[in-house]
Amino acid sequence: MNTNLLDVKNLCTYFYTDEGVVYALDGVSFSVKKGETLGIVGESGSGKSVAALSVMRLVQTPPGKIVSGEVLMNGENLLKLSGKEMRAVRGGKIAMIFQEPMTALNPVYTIGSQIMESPRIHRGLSRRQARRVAIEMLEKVGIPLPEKRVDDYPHQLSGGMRQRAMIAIALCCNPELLICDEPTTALDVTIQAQILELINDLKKEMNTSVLMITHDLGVVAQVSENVLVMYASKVMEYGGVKEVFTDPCHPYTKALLESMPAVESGRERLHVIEGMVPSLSNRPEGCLFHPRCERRMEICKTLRPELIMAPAGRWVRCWLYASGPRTLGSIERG
Amino acid sequence: MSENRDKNVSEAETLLVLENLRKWYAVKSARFGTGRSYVKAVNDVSLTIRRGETLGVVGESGCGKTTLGRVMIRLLEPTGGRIEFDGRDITHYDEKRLRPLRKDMQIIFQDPYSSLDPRMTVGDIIAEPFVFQNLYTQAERREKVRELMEMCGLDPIYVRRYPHEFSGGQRQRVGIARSLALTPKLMVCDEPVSALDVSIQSQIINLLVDLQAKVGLTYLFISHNLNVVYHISNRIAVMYLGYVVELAGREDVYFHAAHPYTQALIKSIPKIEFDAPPLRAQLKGDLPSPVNLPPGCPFSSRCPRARRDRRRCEAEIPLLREISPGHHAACHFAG
Ligand SMILES: Nc1ncnc2c1ncn2[C@@H]1O[C@H](COP(=O)(O)OP(=O)(O)OP(=O)(O)O)[C@@H](O)[C@H]1O
Ligand SMILES: Nc1ncnc2c1ncn2[C@@H]1O[C@H](COP(=O)(O)OP(=O)(O)OP(=O)(O)O)[C@@H](O)[C@H]1O
Ligand code: SF4
Ligand SMILES: [Mg+2]
Ligand SMILES: [Mg+2]
Repeated sequence: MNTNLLDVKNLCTYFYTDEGVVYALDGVSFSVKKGETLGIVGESGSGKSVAALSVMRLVQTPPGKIVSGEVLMNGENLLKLSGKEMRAVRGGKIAMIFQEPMTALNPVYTIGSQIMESPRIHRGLSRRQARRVAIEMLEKVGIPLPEKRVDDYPHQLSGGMRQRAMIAIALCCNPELLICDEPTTALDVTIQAQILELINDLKKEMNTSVLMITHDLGVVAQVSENVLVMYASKVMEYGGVKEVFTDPCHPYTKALLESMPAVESGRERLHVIEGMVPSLSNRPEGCLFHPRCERRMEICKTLRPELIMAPAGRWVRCWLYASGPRTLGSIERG
Repeated sequence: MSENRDKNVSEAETLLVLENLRKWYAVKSARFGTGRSYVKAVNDVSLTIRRGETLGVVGESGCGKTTLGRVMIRLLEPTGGRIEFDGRDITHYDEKRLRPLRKDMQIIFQDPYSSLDPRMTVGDIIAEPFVFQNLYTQAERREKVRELMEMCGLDPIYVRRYPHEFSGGQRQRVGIARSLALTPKLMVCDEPVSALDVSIQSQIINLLVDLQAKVGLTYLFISHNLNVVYHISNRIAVMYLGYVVELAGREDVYFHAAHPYTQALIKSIPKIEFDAPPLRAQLKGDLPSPVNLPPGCPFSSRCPRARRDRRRCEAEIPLLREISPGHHAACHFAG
């Protein structure tokens, strides 16, 4: 039986720009169970936000286009829905929190009226009932004096409070899936800890599934069950967060973990991944990571490795593991 | 070896002394119409920086780190207190007297995108300090730029390229090369790696460490990332609402924090650890406004410890005092 809430299969999203085709997301697959958190990590430009926007069908078109793949929610392919049906999904079953709340909140409406919008449309509540819900939500996300704050405008709130208001808006329709794109990157660690605790509590209380996008491996370790490591448009490693972080298979995951300054490591030199992330409109041949990889072999320079199930029991895209048992990988292109 | 590094530094002479340094920004008061109020960005900071050491500065956004770094090297006018650099009281130096000192005090910025002039070539950017200080012939400048680029890991063939042709990490290297041009004595590094990816971050941190060993630089290293600050610093100053609330060797700050704010900060770092209990929120509420500081201890409004004696915490500002050799904390109950 399939108990997954979300199944993303072979998703490809490209941008057609003057400089050429940008392969932002190339054959990405993952799934999320009910009440589970999947962390998506990767460097800037690796395709994390495009993955989130593709699931929400919010990719800017043109220049972007979801070229192929499936986004199954409870078995239903969201990519096949009409625009109207999809809008209902966005306000209801799926909600999203962005990195910079100021760009997502509307500066000319009060926090309260922005929270009330969705319950009024989707649940048909009256103004009064909706206001009640808004105050309850603000209280739940830990905003002090909610009866007063409900009439504030976004600029009257601090960064941490704005992020909490965003979460209140996202949660007031009891979404089944909450997509968080760098929800705490702009915040300090003490406020970040408050927001992460809040998301974790709500997840437990309402059995919500969460997609947590971040470049902070520590955040992923603290909140997720599984992790997807992305590099230049492709999944490099995918499995249980504890397994992947304590015993990484892929040379990229390994290098990423080693290059973080850790207190235990004393004052030795930090590990360095030489070179830069490749341009997504001009990707290298073979393994996308091979120009920077310490373990590269001849085959890595010419042939793209597939995502295979490694002996360690998780998905890895690397020729070092190609002799392991093969299962359905992604279908390669380009 | 790392112990040696700490020891050598602790015996070195003092390069910079701050006494009760204060920087307030005047702002128009919305509430009182014509009246003025002040953003109290830096409050009564006293500390010393020794030659060859790295002093790390951490704290929440808006706590005054950048302001402290800029006042210290007199890019900003202090509101009160005293600054002594290299044996000279520079608190009230005017621009003319500061000019010859500028080469000794440099700053690198967080944003490698906006801090470089997009219309200048990389070579001209790095050579700019020579032009300002009227140093060297054209040929000598070209040679110096070459050396600096190599020292900072940039291929000198790129000397005629423009900043937009470089990645973030490379641009940060250009900024570092420029600030090194005049072999400064003190370098203020204001979040130099915060805008960079992890894999690029480590390249720049290693570069800064290597340069320090090679040229004998002294760093004030500002970052909100405690792990980065721990890695690079000898001592760490923790700031809260413009005050230094704890100042100690990096191990003391990290493993024996005495101030409740530092303790909360360290417990809030999300770690890659799976056996420890999950991350919990350590503090309630947000940073208060630096315009209306809470009375008494700046941390009293969020402090879990203030419950012990709320009256005292809300009435009396705790001074930064030495609670064990070299370990300073500003809390009535520390030590
Ligand atoms: N509207 C667009 N037009 C052209 N290219 C785009 C557009 N949006 C995204 N891209 C490209 O798609 C790629 C993936 O971008 P994405 O925003 O998903 O990265 P990310 O992993 O979220 O990075 P970050 O950590 O910086 O947020 C990038 O190369 C980006 O330049
Ligand atoms: N020119 C200015 N005029 C008025 N207020 C200012 C000015 N510059 C900074 N401030 C205020 O002074 C306080 C300290 O700012 P500062 O930039 O020094 O903090 P910071 O610790 O560097 O923060 P961040 O981590 O966000 O860089 C903040 O409240 C800020 O809004
Ligand atoms: S496939 Fe080759 S180049 Fe790519 S990560 Fe594996 S070893 Fe490195
Ligand atoms: Mg993104
Ligand atoms: Mg700053």
